[in-house]
Amino acid sequence: MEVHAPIVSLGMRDVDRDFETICVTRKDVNLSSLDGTKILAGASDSPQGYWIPNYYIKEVMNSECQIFPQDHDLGKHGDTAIGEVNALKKLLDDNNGGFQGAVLSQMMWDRATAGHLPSIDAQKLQDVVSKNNLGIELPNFDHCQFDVLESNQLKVQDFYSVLHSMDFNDPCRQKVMKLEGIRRTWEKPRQEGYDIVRSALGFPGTMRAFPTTILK
Amino acid sequence: MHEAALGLDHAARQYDDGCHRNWTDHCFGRFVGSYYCLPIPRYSLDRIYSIPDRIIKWVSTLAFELIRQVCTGTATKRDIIGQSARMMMLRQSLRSTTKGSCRALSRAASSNHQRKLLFQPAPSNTLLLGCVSYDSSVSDIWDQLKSHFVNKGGIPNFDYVLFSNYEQQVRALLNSHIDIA
Repeated sequence: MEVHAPIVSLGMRDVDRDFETICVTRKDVNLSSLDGTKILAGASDSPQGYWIPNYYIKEVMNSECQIFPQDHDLGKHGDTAIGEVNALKKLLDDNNGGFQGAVLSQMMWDRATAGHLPSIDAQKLQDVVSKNNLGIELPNFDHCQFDVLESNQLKVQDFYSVLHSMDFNDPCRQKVMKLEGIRRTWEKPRQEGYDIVRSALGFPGTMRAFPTTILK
Repeated sequence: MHEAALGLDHAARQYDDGCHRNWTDHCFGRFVGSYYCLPIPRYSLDRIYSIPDRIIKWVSTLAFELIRQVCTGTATKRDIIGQSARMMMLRQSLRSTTKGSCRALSRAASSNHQRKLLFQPAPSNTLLLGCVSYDSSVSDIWDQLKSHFVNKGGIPNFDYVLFSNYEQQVRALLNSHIDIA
């Protein structure tokens, strides 16, 4: 079912802008391209774990590889990232059934290599897997933001003002902003960061995105 | 006499589904399937629900047999008196066995209408934000953000709800059950 609803965006965390997705491969296989390879991915409803890398590698790069999503926590659209962690675990397994690479967010890669993921051996990961040795640059995208119905704009004006007036330098505000994962500030909304997401969602087999506009 | 001969074949297929909801029709004495339904259950609908199906069928079978005998001319005066007496006894029995449960049902039904809320629901002008609970920390984060919006931001009617998935959250936004997603 195709749904059209006039949606207005209010803003996002700074960390949601230019979200990075990467491709990692095993060091013990000599690859010149992804053609003919078996690649692991995050949950099939995750933009960073599956939608964007799947679209970009197959449609933009025209790479003839197989991408296997690791479905977990469907409905949360990759927020738990357990699909990506499972993909890394499987890639690390020496008897993984021929998987040579994986796609995941830069954030989860950083956590894994820093030893912040209990189920991943950070040392083994750095020994066995390398990041981006094929020179593949997956596109960045904006991850998530606050949305309201256009007809409800007036009701949320106060929320919009208070949200964007939160000062990271205020120690009281900084605590909760850090909890929310913010580095410095709430950012204003923008739509161009979702262009690649819309393209990926328009890729056959995926759902369609809602049209959105920016709050003036 | 077969029910098809009475033109009730359609009614039999339509109603003989073992479900009580159509048994209100039986109060007016209709053929349903192979059972003639007496005007015995003149109780309200909730009383009819409380009567076991097998008892209703048993009573109905007695009545049907009596009518069959009368229509085919095989019933004697003694049969008619005997069957009628048995049905009257069953009718009284049904009334007495269901009396208590009927009263309880009636009391429950009336008390539902009179029940008052001990806590008031959230006001309708709440500015309600929805977010997906991908981690147990989400409620801690939004409790603190709510405190900021209510106490520092001057939005006393701000509140939030958690969803288990994005699809339900989007549905809630489109249906205006939440204001912000």
